Amino acid sequence: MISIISVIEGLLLIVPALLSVAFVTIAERKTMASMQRRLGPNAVGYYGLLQAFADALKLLLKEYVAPTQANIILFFIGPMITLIFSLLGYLVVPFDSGIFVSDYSLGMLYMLAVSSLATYGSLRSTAQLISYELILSSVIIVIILLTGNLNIITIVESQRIVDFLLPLFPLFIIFFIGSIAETNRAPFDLAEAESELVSGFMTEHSASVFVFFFLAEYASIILICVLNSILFFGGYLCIIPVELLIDILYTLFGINSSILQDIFVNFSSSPLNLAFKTALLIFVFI
Amino acid sequence: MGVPFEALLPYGIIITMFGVSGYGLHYVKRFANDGKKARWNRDLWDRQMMERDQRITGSFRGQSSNHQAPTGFDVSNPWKIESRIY
Repeated sequence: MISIISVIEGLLLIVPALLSVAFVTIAERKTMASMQRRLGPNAVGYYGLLQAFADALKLLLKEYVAPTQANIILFFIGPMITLIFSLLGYLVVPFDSGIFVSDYSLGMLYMLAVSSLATYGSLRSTAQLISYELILSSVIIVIILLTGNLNIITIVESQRIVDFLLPLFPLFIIFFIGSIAETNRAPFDLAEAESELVSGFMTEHSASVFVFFFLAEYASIILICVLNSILFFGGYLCIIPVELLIDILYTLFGINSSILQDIFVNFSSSPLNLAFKTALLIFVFI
Repeated sequence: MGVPFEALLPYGIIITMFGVSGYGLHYVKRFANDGKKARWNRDLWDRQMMERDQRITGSFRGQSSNHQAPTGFDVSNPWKIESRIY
């Protein structure tokens, strides 16, 4: 029985995660198009929403080509490792105080370890990692010092009074820039500099192996956005502290605070809060 | 011009997907924990207490106010290595 529940939990986490990865690609293309006064993908499905699936289908049906001198096993296993490790990070994401797949007491360390392995180690990205991952982990250490715990739910729960965004605003800026560099996004895309390297490490990859790399990249973008919202925006907690809201409404309008408690108790912590914050951060990322 | 609404549709779907994960896990966790909220940040002591609860009530989340332990509680200690002699 326990094993069936574990399988269901895993599926509930992985399947929506992969679907949201697919829609992040669409979100990116649509948002960038709107910034550049283009239409973006708009042919497949309603408003081009199914473009990602059409692309994936095309790539899966293509013939794969491997370089003759390449180590074939490593060549094919590399993208798989990248994808698996970027999906492993979702394991410790808390959706609410009692909603998680794994409540690992060293969750933050696990997240750090997994997110480092998810990046690919060519020389150019190694140079970048040395410069930015150090900063990333230093900021996380500051937060761990503040909360005194490595457990991710405890880190979120300690932001009930005020999000870490306010007292640690400069650190958030540093962390955000670091996470952009970590995911190889636009100003920091050394590993995949399109003006100089064609497609960087993806040049030799084609067909389904390329899909794996592509999925891994976008999965790590979502993961790092989730990490940002957990560390600085209070994760699944309400954006405006509910206790503060109740106090304000009680002082200004004299509404009975116990009635307000009943109304707001559902909003104080919900998976949708995490979703809103993450979607906002993904938008900023793009 | 701003971002048109059709560029925001994928974000809506991403939020929905998080909701599916979150609320799906909510129901599965409730089911697995006898309809109660799952415990988080458990340490060694909590885990030992849960194991004791299981020996008393048959469930990790079960609690009993009975002042007498059920029959067999004194010999149902969870030795992991030695075989049990009843």
